Amino acid sequence: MAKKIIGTFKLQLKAGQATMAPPVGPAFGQRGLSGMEFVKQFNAKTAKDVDSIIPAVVTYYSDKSFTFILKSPPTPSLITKAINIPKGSAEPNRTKVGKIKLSQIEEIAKLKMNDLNCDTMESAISMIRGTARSMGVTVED
Amino acid sequence: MLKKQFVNLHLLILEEQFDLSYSVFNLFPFVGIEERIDEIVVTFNVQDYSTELNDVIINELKNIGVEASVLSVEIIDDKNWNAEWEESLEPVIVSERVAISPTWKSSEVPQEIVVLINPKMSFGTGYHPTTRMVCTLLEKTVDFGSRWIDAGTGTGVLAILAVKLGAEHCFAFDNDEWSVENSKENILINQVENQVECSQQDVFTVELPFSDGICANLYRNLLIPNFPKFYSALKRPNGVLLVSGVLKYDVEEIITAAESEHFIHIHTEIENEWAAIHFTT
Repeated sequence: MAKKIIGTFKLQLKAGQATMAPPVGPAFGQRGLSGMEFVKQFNAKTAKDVDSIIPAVVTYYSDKSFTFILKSPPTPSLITKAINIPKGSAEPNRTKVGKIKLSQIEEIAKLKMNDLNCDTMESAISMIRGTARSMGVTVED
Repeated sequence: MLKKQFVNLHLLILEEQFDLSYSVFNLFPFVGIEERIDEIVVTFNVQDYSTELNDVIINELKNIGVEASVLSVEIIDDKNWNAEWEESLEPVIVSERVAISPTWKSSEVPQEIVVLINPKMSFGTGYHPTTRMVCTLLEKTVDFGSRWIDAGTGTGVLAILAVKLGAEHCFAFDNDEWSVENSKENILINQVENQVECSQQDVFTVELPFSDGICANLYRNLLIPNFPKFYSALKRPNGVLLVSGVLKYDVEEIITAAESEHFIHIHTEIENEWAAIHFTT
């Protein structure tokens, strides 16, 4: 018999650096799940992505087991990392904080493709361009 | 042990703006973030937080077009968050000879060697394949009277097992306060306090004693840069290095890195997506 899904929750953690400190400890503990098991798996699976924030969506079941999937880092984080700026612009329409190449946008779109609500690479690229614009980052075609 | 404290900053943010808001959170030294419905909970170490930070974050979010407000701020004392799960622990049979059991279940285990573990939020209950695999490798490699190192000891399970298998001494360490406290409790429960020495140390700075064997259930990023240190601490030839905590996808890279530091690959065990690797000097 398939085990019953009780619920899901989403955490955003630094790659390779998860510990039992909040939010991991309370999120798992209050549901009776083994947070240590998650910490071991998360850190092993994200060890190569140092300096990134990695979203993890955890699904937990009636038998106190859980599974989780790792998502790609948030798009603004990928953009700021790609062009080495600390953050987006306060006035994106008037003050530009950097330029990003189309090839970099395409790379981000490839990475984000599975997590974006779109069917084609063109629409993924379009979404990433939109995020870049909203951050005051100019796309160089 | 001084109890750590954390601050949870609860922010009201519309879900469609979550993604954008991360470019702001990245600017601050947070521990982690939990997403809820139209709410983001940002956790800080208490020493990294001050009330002024609320306005700074709200303003930074506003600057990038994210409307946010503070719902609440709560201070959280660190504790054993794993307690409920730990109460449900059952003994783990590692082999015909070895089992790992919480103290309250040990009478149910027929194995000759039983490592008693009350975990308290530390890693190493035997539930995880990496622990079980290193346990079976220890069974094959620990010689009577040998001296061992347990790097990243967690509950102390591997150090205790090494001694119960005949090692004369084990130098165990972990960088995590909880783990060191917990491993000391487990060392006492197993009555091996004269043979297992445990302290809070970082693998990058610890001075390792000269040994016959090392077990290191760590992570890839901690293992690879420390292969030279491990090699220097081992007898040559026939010193034993058992590494685990690595995914099977990383095995090739780990073996290449170890071999470039003169280790000889003997054997790899795989269970599900996890691996344990046996090297010698």
